[in-house]
Amino acid sequence: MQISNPQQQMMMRMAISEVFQKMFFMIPLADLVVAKGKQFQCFVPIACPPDEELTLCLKIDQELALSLTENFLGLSGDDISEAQSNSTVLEILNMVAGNFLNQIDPLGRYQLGIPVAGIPKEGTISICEEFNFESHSLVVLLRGSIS
Amino acid sequence: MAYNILIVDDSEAMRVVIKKILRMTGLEILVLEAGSGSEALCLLDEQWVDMVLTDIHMPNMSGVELIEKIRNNQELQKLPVMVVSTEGREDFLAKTQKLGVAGYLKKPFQPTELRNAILAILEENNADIQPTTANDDEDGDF
Repeated sequence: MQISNPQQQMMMRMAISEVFQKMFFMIPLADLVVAKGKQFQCFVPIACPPDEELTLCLKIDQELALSLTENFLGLSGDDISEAQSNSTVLEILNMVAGNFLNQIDPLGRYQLGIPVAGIPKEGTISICEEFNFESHSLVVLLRGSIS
Repeated sequence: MAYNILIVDDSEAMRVVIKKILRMTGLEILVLEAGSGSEALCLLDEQWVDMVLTDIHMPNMSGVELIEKIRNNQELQKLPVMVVSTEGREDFLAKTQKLGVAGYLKKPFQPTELRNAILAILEENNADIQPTTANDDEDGDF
């Protein structure tokens, strides 16, 4: 069954909202906001054998990453290391990717990889979701398209 | 009675969160942590564990491979294993069911969902368990 791009976008939005509502008790606002200060980027490869590969990328204001980590780990900002903050964001990306795949690919054709920090190689963007969390930016991009 | 529970997840953040939820059970729990399947197998070799909570997508050894190794070990084959993973697709669920997992919780989850699932598994495997209600007034926050 072919899932249209608007349907995929809706599923992505739902996947992101569910992660933030259940794990952070936050409701993300689908809204444009200018990125502030330093940003953290990470991505997770999603493979469909034999040769199709997608990449789900997440870009987040570092200040927001710190605040989410405080919320998630129950620590205060001063006690949070960069590694803990990065680990929290990587786990957010992992949950968003898994949740999205559960909806879009119930038969399990696509295989979820391991999230890593960094910027992925270029690719056509098929989904771009931007969120505003207390005036901080979080962007999720899907590079490559789901056939 | 104290329980030894092993958390296997390559995400340090997720291990911290699960540890906090284990504290919400009101039981006396010694938490053991492993960042990979091979680390988990070493720990299982060294000490008694009452229950394993494992992720599925991990580098080098997946959660499914880890459960297979546990089931193929005569001393560990009855050890209750619960999967806590983003993976919720049918084929994975079927695979883990075949391996006799005691429970499967999909991430994201609410803290009370995990707490209740852990208590149910411990209760099923330990007749004398008396989960306290000491933390029942918590609102479920991490």
